[in-house]
Amino acid sequence: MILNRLRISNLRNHGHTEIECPEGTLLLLGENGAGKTTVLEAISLLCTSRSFVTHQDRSLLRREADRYQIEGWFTSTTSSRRSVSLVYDTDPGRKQIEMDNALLPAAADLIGAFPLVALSPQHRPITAGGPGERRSFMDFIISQLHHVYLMDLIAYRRALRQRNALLADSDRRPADVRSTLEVWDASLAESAVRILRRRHRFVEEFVPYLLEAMRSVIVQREEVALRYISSMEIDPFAETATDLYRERLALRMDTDIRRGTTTSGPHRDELEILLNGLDVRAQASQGQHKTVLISLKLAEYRYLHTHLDEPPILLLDDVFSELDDERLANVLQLVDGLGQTFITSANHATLRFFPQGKAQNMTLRLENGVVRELAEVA
Amino acid sequence: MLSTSPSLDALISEFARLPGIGRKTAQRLAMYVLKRPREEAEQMAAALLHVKDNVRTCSICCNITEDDPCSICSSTRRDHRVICVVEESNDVFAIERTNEFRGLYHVLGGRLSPLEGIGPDDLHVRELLDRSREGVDEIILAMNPNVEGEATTLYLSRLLKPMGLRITRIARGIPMGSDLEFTDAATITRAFEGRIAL
Ligand SMILES: [Zn+2]
Repeated sequence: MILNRLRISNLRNHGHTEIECPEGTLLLLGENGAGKTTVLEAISLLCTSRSFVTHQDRSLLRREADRYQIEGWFTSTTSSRRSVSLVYDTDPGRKQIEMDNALLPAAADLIGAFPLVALSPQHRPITAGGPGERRSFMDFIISQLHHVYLMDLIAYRRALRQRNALLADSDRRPADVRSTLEVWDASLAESAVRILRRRHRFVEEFVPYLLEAMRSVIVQREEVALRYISSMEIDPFAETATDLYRERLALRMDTDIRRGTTTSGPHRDELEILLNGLDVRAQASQGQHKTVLISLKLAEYRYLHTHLDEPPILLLDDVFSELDDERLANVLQLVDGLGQTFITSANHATLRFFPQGKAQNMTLRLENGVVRELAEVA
Repeated sequence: MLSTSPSLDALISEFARLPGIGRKTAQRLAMYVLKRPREEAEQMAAALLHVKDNVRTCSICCNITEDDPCSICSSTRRDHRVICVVEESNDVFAIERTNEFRGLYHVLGGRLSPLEGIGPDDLHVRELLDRSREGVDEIILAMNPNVEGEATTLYLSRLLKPMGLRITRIARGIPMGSDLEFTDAATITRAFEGRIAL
């Protein structure tokens, strides 16, 4: 997917910005706070309805504005023209998204239509943070490929919130728990089993991509592996999996009632990343965290590309600030072979390693939310 | 943001209370009312009070009505052996518009939702059980196709099945007049699950 043109109004410190995007790499240079990341956030919002920095729409508004809008015009591999317009207005306080000039009933309907991979300092918790970070990483990849998976996730979360509300209120409404808990269990079981199946399949398919990515990011051999650890010990591929799942839920009912929440299920599972047999989260060095994260993202890119027949758009936000020259050059080299890429950097050394002499690349400089200077890298 | 008129502010606040109405829209509505002749405001005020004074729920189907039992429940031309269970009165209007369904209704007054503190006792479930005990052959469950609607459907079917009635649910699938190409994957999946033999 190629983003040909991007228009931003009233997003963070951008008043009105319009960028004709190159088909190769767009390098955005500027000091901290110049509004580089905002351009990437805008692209992320267009493609996924979300920013990778914040989930609060209001915080994205330019000061004193009550409405922001982002518009993008795309071309797919099959040369079809696509467009997205996203508007947030403080009244009614939610986003409205139009895809190809038709209003989308739900933001979820956008996911997958414009595949995107983003890497920014906000993604560090994927290797260093709690299990939820890795679940989100996995869920977002699968959701872009399988809309039904996203629908199952949404249904699961909804049923989970309802079940938890019932459990939390079990003192005051014991009769409701007795008469309706199994109804929510049935609803949870149905989506949970489908989620588990898909996640298991994903892990199996994704590992070879991760191995290959590791090999291209680092020279020395390191053994990377993924392990899906389920909090619900059932075989999701069993024919009676849904019934088994319900039975397990029923067995844990007393614990769940006592804790006032659902203590097992896909929302409690872990995707463990192992490096040379050790849990990355707890045991990896700073350098290893970086390498694994970049590899995960590279693998995400190639995995999506293969399965969607459409190269995703790649966003690299401020990933070079901590890399030494050699690694910086290495990553830029890798990126050069991928599809359309947007890179931000406060480090002007980036320019030295930026693939020169390519007409499809471009550099822009940002200052206070304004594109100050346009220099074609010849 | 307060105007220079407390009366206008009060009206704006009232409008803003309505579902789906934000502050800006409330201001627009209030300004509109202000600009229209006094008779129109009187008509609106009278209609609001009239609704509160005259509309009640039918003692049989729990739908809103001015006469009890409602015109549907008291009709001799309808099939009293079939009851279609819906969440809200709006759903009755929607089904009645089709002129196809000739049975009776039962309005639950919502759906199971612990998040909103709604359990079976907050819905007209007991009334449904009572009227299902005699002279009923079939109960059609027509809840909304979402998580809460599904849960309510399952809850009611488990409650009603032991009574030996025919329990059905409405089909979920692709809306007529829409293109498969533009139908979301979840709807298509459901439609496949609900496929029928020809
Ligand atoms: Zn009635």
